[in-house]
Amino acid sequence: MTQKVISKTPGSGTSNPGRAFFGKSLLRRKMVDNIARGAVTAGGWVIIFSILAILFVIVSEFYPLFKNPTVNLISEFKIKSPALALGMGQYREKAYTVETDGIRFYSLTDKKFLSKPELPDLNEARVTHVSPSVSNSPVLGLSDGRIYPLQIEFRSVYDSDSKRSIQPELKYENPIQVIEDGSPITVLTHIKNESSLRIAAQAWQSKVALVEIKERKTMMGTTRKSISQETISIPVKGNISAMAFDEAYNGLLVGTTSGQILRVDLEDPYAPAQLVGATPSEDISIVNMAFALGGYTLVITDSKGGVTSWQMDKNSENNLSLKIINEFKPHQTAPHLFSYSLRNKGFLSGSEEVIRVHYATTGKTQLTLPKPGKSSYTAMVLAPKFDGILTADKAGNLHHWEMENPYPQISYAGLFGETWYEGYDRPEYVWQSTGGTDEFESKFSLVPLIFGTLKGTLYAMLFAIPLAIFGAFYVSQFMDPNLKRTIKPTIEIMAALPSVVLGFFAALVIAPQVEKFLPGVFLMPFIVTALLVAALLIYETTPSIKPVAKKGKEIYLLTIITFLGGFLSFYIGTLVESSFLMGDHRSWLKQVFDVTYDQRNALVVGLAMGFAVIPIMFTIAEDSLSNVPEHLKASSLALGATPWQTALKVILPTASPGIFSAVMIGFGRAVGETMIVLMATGNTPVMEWSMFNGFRALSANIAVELPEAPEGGTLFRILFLAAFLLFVMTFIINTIAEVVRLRLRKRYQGL
Amino acid sequence: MKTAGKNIWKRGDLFIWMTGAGLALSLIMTAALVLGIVVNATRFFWPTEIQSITLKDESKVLGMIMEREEIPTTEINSPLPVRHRIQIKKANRDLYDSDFIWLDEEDIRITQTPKDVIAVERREWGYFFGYIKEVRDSGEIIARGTVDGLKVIKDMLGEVHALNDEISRLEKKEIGAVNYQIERIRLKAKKLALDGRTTGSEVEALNAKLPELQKKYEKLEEKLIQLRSSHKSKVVLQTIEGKEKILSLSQVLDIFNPNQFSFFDKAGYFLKGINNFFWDDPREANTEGGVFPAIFGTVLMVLIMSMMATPLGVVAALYLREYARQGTMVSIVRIAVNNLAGVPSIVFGVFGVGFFIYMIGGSIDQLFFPEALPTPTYGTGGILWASLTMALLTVPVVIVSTEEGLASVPKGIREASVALGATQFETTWRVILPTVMPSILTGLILAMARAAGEVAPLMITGVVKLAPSLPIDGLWPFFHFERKFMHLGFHIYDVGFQSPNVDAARPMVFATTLLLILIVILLNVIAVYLRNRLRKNLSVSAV
Repeated sequence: MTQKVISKTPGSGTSNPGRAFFGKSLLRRKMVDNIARGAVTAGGWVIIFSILAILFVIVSEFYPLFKNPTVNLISEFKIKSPALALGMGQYREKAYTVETDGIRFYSLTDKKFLSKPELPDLNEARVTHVSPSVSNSPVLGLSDGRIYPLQIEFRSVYDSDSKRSIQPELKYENPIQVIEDGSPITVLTHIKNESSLRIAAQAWQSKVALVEIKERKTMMGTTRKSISQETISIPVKGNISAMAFDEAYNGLLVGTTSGQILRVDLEDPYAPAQLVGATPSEDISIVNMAFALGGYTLVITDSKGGVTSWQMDKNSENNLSLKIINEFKPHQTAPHLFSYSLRNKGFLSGSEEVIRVHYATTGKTQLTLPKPGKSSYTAMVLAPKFDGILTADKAGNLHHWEMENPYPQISYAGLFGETWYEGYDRPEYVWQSTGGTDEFESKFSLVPLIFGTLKGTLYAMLFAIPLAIFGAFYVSQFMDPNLKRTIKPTIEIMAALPSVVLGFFAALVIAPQVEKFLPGVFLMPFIVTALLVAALLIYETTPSIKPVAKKGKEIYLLTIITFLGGFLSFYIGTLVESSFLMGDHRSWLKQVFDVTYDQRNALVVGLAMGFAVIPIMFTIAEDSLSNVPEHLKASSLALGATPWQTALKVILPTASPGIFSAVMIGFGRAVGETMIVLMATGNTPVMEWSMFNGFRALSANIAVELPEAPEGGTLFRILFLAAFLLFVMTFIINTIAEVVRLRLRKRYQGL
Repeated sequence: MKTAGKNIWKRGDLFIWMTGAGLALSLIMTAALVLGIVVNATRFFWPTEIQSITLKDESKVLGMIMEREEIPTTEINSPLPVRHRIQIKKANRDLYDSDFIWLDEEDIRITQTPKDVIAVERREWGYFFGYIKEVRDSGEIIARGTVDGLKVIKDMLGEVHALNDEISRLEKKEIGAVNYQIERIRLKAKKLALDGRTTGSEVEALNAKLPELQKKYEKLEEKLIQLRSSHKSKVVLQTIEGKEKILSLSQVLDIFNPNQFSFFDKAGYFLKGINNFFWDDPREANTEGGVFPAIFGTVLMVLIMSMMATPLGVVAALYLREYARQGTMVSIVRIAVNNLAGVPSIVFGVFGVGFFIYMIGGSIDQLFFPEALPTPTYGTGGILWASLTMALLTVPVVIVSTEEGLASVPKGIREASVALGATQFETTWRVILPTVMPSILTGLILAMARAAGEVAPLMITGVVKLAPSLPIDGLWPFFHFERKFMHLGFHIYDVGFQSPNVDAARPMVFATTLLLILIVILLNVIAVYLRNRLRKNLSVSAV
């Protein structure tokens, strides 16, 4: 065929279509040639560009995760009087302030006062204390001993051009008298959910008034309100300085000036309060206590300026106590201000001097807002979308800050280190990207996934390396060359089997069979070896059967022996199981080694993924073994070495870099393999080396979670980071393999 | 004996045998895998007898025996003999709690093969096994009993199917077309509105078209209802327990009596099953019917991929071998190619998502399809993006294969061409390329095989479990590259792992798997054959 082509080359005949070229002007031919040169060169560049583009696109998608958060003051304007508390709508267009004489609405966009809604029952009283609320339902404490629960709503109204405008609206409950003698309220906290509002206010030194306003839907569809009020006495050392409702355990936590934290069980409020925690020393008093989103992480600020997060822990005797989780960057003076995010576990702590943005999960202090000129902070609130902060100072200014902090839960330590999550006993590596509720704390530790990838790869290599290298060794050194020509394409076809087929076969066929014949699987190498030894002895001592396995064609016999060995080991395995392993290897494993057996486990993945990487390792190893210069082999044989000695002592050492390179390439393939690990493991991100457990690999995790991840979100970007890790891992492995192979080629040329 | 042992050690026969056993094990595993898939898949198409099993408590079960296995014991050294259980496919998914059950063999009193049992392949709820009580036409009973009923139904089935085809043509083609036109007009109007034009001749022209289409739609709808109501025949089926089920004949795809099948009947049924598997749409959450859309999607994706990967791969190989000065640049490109080949496929998928879908697709949407936003047109997974991702993934295969071919072209041929006055391009185009054509073809076929079998990157760039319409159809502009598509490999993953009824899905998965590996192996065999031929030819020409 090629000869035909050659005869077609220009000049071999006048009727040749090649003539078309020579009819054209030389200039034109030159031009075409140059254009072609440019196009081909561009093609070469495209390849380099592609690999750079892959890297660039992936990096640019996850890079924003590690950008430092920023906060900028975007506007500042005078308000009527220093605010006691603040709140704003989700678009950060309108806000309200709580001032001593009531509520005022302001427009943040226009920087101006809007209106002062009427508070009908305020009368002559002044606001002395506010229990602030990020969800815009503050409770005011009045100078005459009453509390005044409010609700501010920011409603979106669309006009005829479907332009949005926000209308703030005030709703209120009736004030409730909690201090009989009319002295002002100083310590106040509240918690609100769909059906009830609970308020705790310090009445006298050690008396606390508990008020609960319940809303019930009646059969008629109207709502009925019921108010209950009781006063309990909490004997404290010092004075009550802060309170917080603990929704998770239905308690009221009370902090004191002596640094103690007491817990009142709200199931039984008259029982004596329990001491659940304390500051390091008695002269550090508690300034503020509040829970971050979700109601599990308690943030305590103390008079030394310390900001700490705690979790309630139940010990073996069912006693509750607070455990310190994280310590944040402290303030110079007592941080009396607090606000938390409704989107994540972020929160603010503020002293008169500065305001800091912290993140509860990571234990990091992300940002610090500077002191407002010569004045000091009196109130602050975090925007509902975690994208802004509103602060007020003593000079009567309102500051509107814009925060750029889209990925607060990401830090190097969080991705690659242990983190103490809510509801855990200790810091751990956990991957759990999505949960049932908005309050769910995402757990983004890549360590279990990297672990899973390495675990799967390890088991695959344990299985594949011996088979691939043995096979390559046999084919290159001992096999009949004619047979070799048919075996190599067979192996190539084995390489072509789609991994989805292997994964499916592993999960639906291999996994149940391995479970059934587990002892047999482990016995197989030994039984096959024993059978080989036996067969060889018979073969060597019985000359009459020599023709059964001619040199180079042993493979026929070996296939039969291996096949028989497999069956025999399954049979013996069942016998072993019934006589030594109590008849059921799963319960035996559980009793003796305390390992549970999952049907889809690392062993199954090892088998299937090993199967997937055998062909490529085989091919590369076989190439390097076959390409050892012939004269080396010949001289070794001439010196009287047996073929085996030659293969082991001459060929193997010469080709060993090639075998190393084969192993590396196989390793790279196994690291990135997706479908097999996705289908043949349970995909649970556990960190155990046991071969009877599943795991979750980086690659499978990307395949499962990327379609569900919203574009630009934290999870989306972390999955790009995971892809980057895979890229880097395989890049390093492949480059090492490539370099080793190139050096080997040079060495062969030198020989 | 001792000398023999020592001899073995020195000659290393045992180790040679052991290395051979390693190869043998790999080959056995490959064979077992292929064989296991072939056997399981063929069983799916080959009809089995329906057995009537009477249990010891006199209750009866009708179904096909699917599997037999040992009952696992938990007792230590249990003195009892090994017991077995069998899995029965009872079908009748709508009437029973589950269509597969396990029976202990010791509970079975007797197993019979009744002659008059029928199997009905239904449009919904899978198969029905049982008897025919009667056949009704417009309320009148026209046949009683299984034997007569079967005869009557077989006669009527042709007509019923013709009517069904007409209905589905109307639903899919005609009504689909009208809906598509209405949607296009809506989008056009929205686009005009986005440009600030809500009045004017163009808008009016668009609006004028709507009532006409609306009318057309209503007419078709009416016709559809009329056609549907012309299905008047019903069959009353009876299970072995005597439960009755009235089924419109329009729901019947096929009805047959497997217990009276001769070998040739079975073979005919087998072939028919394979035919349906190729050409039908999937039914019942993909566990029944055929895989036509998946075959179509796979083929189209591979074709688009080939159109992108081949030129790029060939040009890159030409650059490396023919044009570039061998130096650092070439080494860098070569390392890039080798690394590109080693990058995990899922990373390509992630790149496809980030680059093609969100960067390019997102920009296309904003420039050309702003009217459809926030619903993305190209800014979401689709066959074009999946194919481009795949092209990038398979380009190294083409490069490596083409380079190998170029390397084996004797230098003399090039020199002869240049000596005769041809430019480098002419040499390449007229002399080199025809010579290396088989290499390019080999690379292309290997790339196609790779693309056909790869699933992971597709999962995130546009494959879905059930695509409502094919990426190519009769509606302007005919090629809908933004559409999502189905793929054989993903079909295996989805049906085998996401399906609620695993037992029912299993045969389907095996059949799809067999089809996929046949395609892949066939492509590979062609590639290997081509390459071997090429090597032979070149070794001749080099002489």
